[in-house]
Amino acid sequence: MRTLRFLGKEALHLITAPETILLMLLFPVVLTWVLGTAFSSTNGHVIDLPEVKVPIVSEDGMLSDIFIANGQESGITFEETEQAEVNRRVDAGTLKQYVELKDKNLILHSDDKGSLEAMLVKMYANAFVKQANLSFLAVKEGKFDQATPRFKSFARVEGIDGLNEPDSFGYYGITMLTMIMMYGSMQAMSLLDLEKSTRTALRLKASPYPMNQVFFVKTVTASVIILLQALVLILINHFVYGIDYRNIGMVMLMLIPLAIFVTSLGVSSYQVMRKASAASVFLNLITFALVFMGGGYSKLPSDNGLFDTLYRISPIGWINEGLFTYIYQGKTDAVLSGSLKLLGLGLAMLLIAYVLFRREEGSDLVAAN
Amino acid sequence: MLNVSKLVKRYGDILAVSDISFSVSEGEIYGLLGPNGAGKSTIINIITGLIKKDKGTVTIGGMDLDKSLNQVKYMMGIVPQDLAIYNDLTAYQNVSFFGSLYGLKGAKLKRQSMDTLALVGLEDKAKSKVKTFSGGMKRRLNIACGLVHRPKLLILDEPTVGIDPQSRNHIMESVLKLNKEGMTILYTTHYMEEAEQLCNRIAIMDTGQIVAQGNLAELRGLIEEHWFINLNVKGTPPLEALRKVAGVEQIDVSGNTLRFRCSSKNSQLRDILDVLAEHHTEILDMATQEPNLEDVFLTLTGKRLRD
Repeated sequence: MRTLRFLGKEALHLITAPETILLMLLFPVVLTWVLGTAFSSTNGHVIDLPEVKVPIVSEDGMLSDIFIANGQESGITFEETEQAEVNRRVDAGTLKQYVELKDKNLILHSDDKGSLEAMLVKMYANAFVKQANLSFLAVKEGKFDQATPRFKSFARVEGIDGLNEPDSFGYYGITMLTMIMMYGSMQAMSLLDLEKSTRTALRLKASPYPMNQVFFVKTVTASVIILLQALVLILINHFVYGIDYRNIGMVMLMLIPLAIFVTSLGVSSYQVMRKASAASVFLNLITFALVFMGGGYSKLPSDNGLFDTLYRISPIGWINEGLFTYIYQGKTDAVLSGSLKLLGLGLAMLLIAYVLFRREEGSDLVAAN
Repeated sequence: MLNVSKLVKRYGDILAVSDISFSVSEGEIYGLLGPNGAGKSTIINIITGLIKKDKGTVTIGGMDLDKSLNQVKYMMGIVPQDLAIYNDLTAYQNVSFFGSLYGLKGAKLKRQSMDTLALVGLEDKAKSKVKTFSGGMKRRLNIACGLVHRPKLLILDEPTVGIDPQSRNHIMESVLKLNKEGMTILYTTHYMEEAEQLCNRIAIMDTGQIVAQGNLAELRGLIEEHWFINLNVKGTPPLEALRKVAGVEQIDVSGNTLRFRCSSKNSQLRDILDVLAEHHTEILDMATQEPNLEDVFLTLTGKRLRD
């Protein structure tokens, strides 16, 4: 019962601090939206192409019909237009390119040959011409069966490994989540520093409540609050931004080792440095570094040896990788491996913090305690 | 209730507490009076189990501190010199939390928390955050947090430092009230008036030692061969000439009031008056007084309580 009340008291300290709400919830929510929107065109394997509509001046006939129909299938809309109309629009400066298909000549007229539209039309046109010539050759030699298409459909674009990957919102929905959990290390540190700053450590030591329980309560409270904040953030991301986390319950389970790691980082930093101000500076720096290394701010280039190494040694990289592969590919190998490493590191730091805590608190205590 | 025997505590080369022995009877208010650095807080910290002693024994309620620390802690309540409360919680949350550490729970915890707040005059502020409190109110809450679990021995370490007179009076009244209800109190202070007003017995401390202990009459009796006279004069008194009067051991000047400590009564008074007359110093008021604790301390140590 005493421990429950202690836990409640600790939680009150964190929850009633306005900076908790601002920093831990609003900040990542806003940042997810900002970064997700800003990088929406660069993330993921799908490039949103502009709608390609090109006027075509063509003689009536099967060739023209096939050209236009095949173009439609590959995403290019050829709008049949009269030459006079095309000339008028060119003179008026409202037309930058058009296609002419006459007398078996296929010409792309363009003022902007380097534009994406022009390149797409040119690529399609070249492919069409080659296909058409092959077909004609097959017909000429009487090989009618070789005049039909061999492929089932036009080429489509997929990721290299053929698996699902997140778009920008999905990406930052994970990285902002793990980043803000990292900042929870400072909450953990502040809980431990609280009794010193309020001078209530003396009351706690003078009471019959065991000091080792004080350490336990504070670390548990910090971890629980970090996880609760993560859950709130996940729910906001899911219901407001539509970010998919596959199974929120499973994701929360996967975040437990990170919460333990983060808490232990906070308390061990404080115990080693013995001053909240110094520990705070250190935690800010280490959080930035680990989040950057883990691709938290932007995806690091995977073909760069240094960045790849940084990603692999960053605890944030471990958990991010684990969450990405679970959420988008349904695999748990990476998250299990990352969790074990986080737990191992976390427990080691927690042990160091506990030893230092007991040494400091017990330095002048009567042996019986 | 409390028995301290031959207590010694050293911090490196500094002997903070040197062979201290005293006992506090059940239901008594026992004062530790001395200036800053006398060793009062060190003794408190040893008794409450916060620091280890180097030598000596401490027993509380018949239990040895070394052997039964945890049980002893249930019997004690501490009101530290520095405020030890949570500013971001309410008064009730503070009191009930500290009460819970001593095993109080449920309806009993709630009732005792509210009763304690009423005892210190903060029942109306139970739901207010401590950061909105004045200094005096915080001091009162500091006391409440130490006695919510109704300890048998309450230890107050300079509880009135830095507060207004009204709050100080309130605290002193609360201490007397608690004592009337049967609580044993160990009270440390460097304010002579508080010790005189509150304590049944007092130990006067200086540089880690008890220089004298007893009730007020016994302590005054230690310097009964001396007598004290207060003279209220007009203008600047001839201090150099007065100090040369045979038998005048000490003159304290406070504004226009001169307090003389003399070795015998009649001859000094006549000589003092003669000197004042020679220097045309008008006497506005004159009175002899029984020695106070400040006088006792000064006579025994040569120092003031508040230097």
